[in-house]
Amino acid sequence: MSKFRHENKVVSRIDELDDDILSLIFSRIASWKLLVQCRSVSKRWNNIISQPIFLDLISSKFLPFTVYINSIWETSVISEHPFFQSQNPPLNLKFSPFRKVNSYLVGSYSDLLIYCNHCPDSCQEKALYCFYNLITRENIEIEIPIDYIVMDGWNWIAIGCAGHLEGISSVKGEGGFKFVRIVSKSSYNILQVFSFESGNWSTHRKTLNSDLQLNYFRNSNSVTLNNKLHWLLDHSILVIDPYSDDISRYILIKLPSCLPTKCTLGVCKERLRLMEFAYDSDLSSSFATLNVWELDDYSKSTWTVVCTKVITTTKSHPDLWPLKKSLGKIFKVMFHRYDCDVVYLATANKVVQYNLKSGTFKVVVDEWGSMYPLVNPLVVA
Amino acid sequence: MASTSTSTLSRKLILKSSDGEKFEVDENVAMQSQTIKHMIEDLDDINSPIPVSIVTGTILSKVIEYCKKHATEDSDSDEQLKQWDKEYANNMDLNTLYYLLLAANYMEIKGLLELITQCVADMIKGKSPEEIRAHFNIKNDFTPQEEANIRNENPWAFEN
Repeated sequence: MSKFRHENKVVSRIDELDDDILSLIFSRIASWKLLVQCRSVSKRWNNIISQPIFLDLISSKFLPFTVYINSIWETSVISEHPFFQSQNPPLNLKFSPFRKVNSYLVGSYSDLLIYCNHCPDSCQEKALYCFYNLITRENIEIEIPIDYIVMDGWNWIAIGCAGHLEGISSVKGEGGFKFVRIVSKSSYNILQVFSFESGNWSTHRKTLNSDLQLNYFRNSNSVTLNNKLHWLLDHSILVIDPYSDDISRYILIKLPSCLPTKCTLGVCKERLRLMEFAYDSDLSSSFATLNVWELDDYSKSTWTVVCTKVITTTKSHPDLWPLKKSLGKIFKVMFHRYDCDVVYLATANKVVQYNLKSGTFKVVVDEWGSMYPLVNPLVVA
Repeated sequence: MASTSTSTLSRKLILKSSDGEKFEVDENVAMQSQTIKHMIEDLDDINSPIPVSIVTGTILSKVIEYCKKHATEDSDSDEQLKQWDKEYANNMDLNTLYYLLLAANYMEIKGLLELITQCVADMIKGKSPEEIRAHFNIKNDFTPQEEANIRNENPWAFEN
């Protein structure tokens, strides 16, 4: 072994290895945070870690945090994904995956955006959901059966996804891809599941307990964690396992008892989190309160307050000032997937990034928008 | 080790390193290399030495040591084998690890490639970018502005 011990030779050779071997080494660093640090080591390391082929190699383990913001006029991306960061000028997101005009973004799942062209009151030749990968530009469409459309009417529709969609999504979740819809009527709730393995919608319509009052869904998109779907209801979180033999069997996680109605559900570091964003209804008041809860125990519904912040909305934080003017609206909140200190708040006319630790704001989009996270069902960070 | 060669299936092969060193190994040992497996299929004379062109004798002997250990499945538990792998990799200096990576990649020995890439990745883990550069002797070729840009785009990754 001493034959190779020439100090200057020993340490210089890592850069003499081929890109594919370095890629293999990097792929074994199972943390996106460390990989981002590695990008700042040298230009070559940065290039390798930013290449689509490398990202495909690692995305079986985790996906860089990305938020899509869909406003009236355009869709923008806030991302730690090197692909998006390297786009200069920024990626043009003014597109529709359908030729038809009236398709709209209804949600996201892992690295897929979900579009729908379905208008309940119009008679189109084909109603579709489209699962679209923004990076590879590949997509898969599924047709919504005619009788489903008739049933939809103006009822509330909640959606959720679990598993891995081979060929389109680079995320390799466990289990075949499932797309779940809940159509909520005043007297009953119908559960519809599309399995990509069989290529069919569930033939028998499962109904959920009507006592669930699903018309109180606070957000129509589920939060996927451990391949289960989580919807925030008025006093609880509805949990559905799309891989269960009886999918209509559900569990409910109780919300913290002191939680008011304005809150948002999300995931940070593989834990469910809730954020309440409350402010005094008195117009002369100049502060808002922000509380974050984390679920300790799935089965016992025990929550811990992890953060309480009082934000002065006038002088010290003019960025948040418009909040006051939009009193009464429900504000959307997005949790950072890996960074416990970072949240995104959508106010009446902008989207801001807020650091819970330092209390600092950064405006990321200067208009109103709804946020869709890239949620990864399988994370080894 | 003599007992392993009693298998009727196991023929002897001769591997020849880039610097001309010859190694006689059991066929089942050599067959862990996909590259050699394919070469044998095309070989007319099984007794002629098989050239492993980019691997030196010193490295080839280490590769064979790994393959021998992993060819005798029966003797060790998974736990023992893992421990052996760990000690095997930890005994190598950085330069030997690079040559082993090249050899495992060229010879297509999946297990060895996984072992050594993980070993190098573990060296990267827990180090700051500055420490990584120092450990692997990498030149920082970013301008201060370029380096700052990466940090500013991902501030969360650089906080402790």
